Amino acid sequence: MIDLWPKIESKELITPVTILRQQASLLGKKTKNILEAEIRDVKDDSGSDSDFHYAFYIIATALGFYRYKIMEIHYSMDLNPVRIEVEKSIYIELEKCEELKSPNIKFAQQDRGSWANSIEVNSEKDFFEVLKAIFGSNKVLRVISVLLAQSDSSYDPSLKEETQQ
Amino acid sequence: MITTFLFWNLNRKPIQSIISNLALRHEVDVIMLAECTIPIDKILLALNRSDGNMYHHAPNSNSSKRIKIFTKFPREFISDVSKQDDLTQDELEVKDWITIRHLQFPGTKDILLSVIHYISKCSYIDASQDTFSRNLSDWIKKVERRIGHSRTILVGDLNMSPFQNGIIKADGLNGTMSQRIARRKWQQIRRDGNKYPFFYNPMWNLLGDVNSETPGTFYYYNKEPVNLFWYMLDQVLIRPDLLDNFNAHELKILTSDGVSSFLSEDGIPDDKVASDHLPLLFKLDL
Repeated sequence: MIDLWPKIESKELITPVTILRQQASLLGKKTKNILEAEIRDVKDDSGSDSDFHYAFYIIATALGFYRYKIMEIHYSMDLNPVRIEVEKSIYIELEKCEELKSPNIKFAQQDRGSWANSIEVNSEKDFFEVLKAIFGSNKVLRVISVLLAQSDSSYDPSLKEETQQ
Repeated sequence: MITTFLFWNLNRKPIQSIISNLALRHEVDVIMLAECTIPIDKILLALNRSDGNMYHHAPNSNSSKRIKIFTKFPREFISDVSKQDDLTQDELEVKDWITIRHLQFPGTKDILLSVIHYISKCSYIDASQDTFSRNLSDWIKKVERRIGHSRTILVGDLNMSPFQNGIIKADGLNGTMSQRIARRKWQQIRRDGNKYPFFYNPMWNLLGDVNSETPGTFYYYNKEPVNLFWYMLDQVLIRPDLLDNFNAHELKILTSDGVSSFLSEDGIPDDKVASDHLPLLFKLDL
């Protein structure tokens, strides 16, 4: 049999979902795994033209694994552009961010529902900038604070104080 | 890959720092806790207090809420396969006592880890425990058929001694003290022609105080004429398909976390320090 394939070399590509997974693993470290982050492959029935569609959740492991979605990302085989969808309150904060005022970062707020507010980026650098802004947004920080506070059982009077010799 | 497991019935004690000490000292990969009323966040804070490997809570989705499991591995590697929708009425009796996990670590043999906190002698007489052990065994076998292998470990507070009928009878757990016999895989008994798969029960090696610091995992003295004093209620049972991955010499009843002893001056479990049960530690080379 003749092998018609050229030599296939795997190039080291860092895909947007890989970047998200790396960031997801860091949230657990920062919160002793009381909060974790999870990336889910979204089965897309909406007719989206993206090849890849993922959702990023924060999970409260002590609250029955309650999930809060922070963002969704869409991209195709070319890896760029990446479309990032966030809820309206995060979108409004990001629009005001000085670091995101770049011609390469496009904001496109839609009217239908709070999950159609998208930001489009065309480079890994811009993707990092937008992610940093999302993670540092007041809304996300508030979600994290609330979930950590809800997970804290410090005030349960039924627990005895632990004593050790 | 050596995987280290710890099981402990905590007797509702808030001893998360002791659990953390044990996890660190023995580099435990999978922690299984019964009678644990410590909130999840408290356990995670204690387990993850230092940098290095982080533990995750791996919740029971389909099974007993009496068992809590924490692991260094992503919880996707330790999925709950204790489906309840295919259980018979008899098998449903046992659903609150056991969780069955499918451990699938990349590059290694996948196994079934069944963790149990069985019915207590406080609420059930021995004969009832023996009867229900059949339901328990049937459920484990059902999961094994569904998953497609019998590389199964059963660990937990069985609330029975290794020599009790519920553990040794063929249609119960069929736990034998002999590896050679267990390697026969199954036995047939007269009359019914069924094949009953064996478990190997290494706990027999730890009865008495020659091979172990303590003769059992639980102490009880009620001043009755017949009294064992020490009971081996917490046990590990292994299917023969996993015997080559298990070293019985590494199975231990732990009596200290390296900081505090779990025993009183009389050498019995001190529930002012820890629990009235002693923890079990064992390893598998997967």
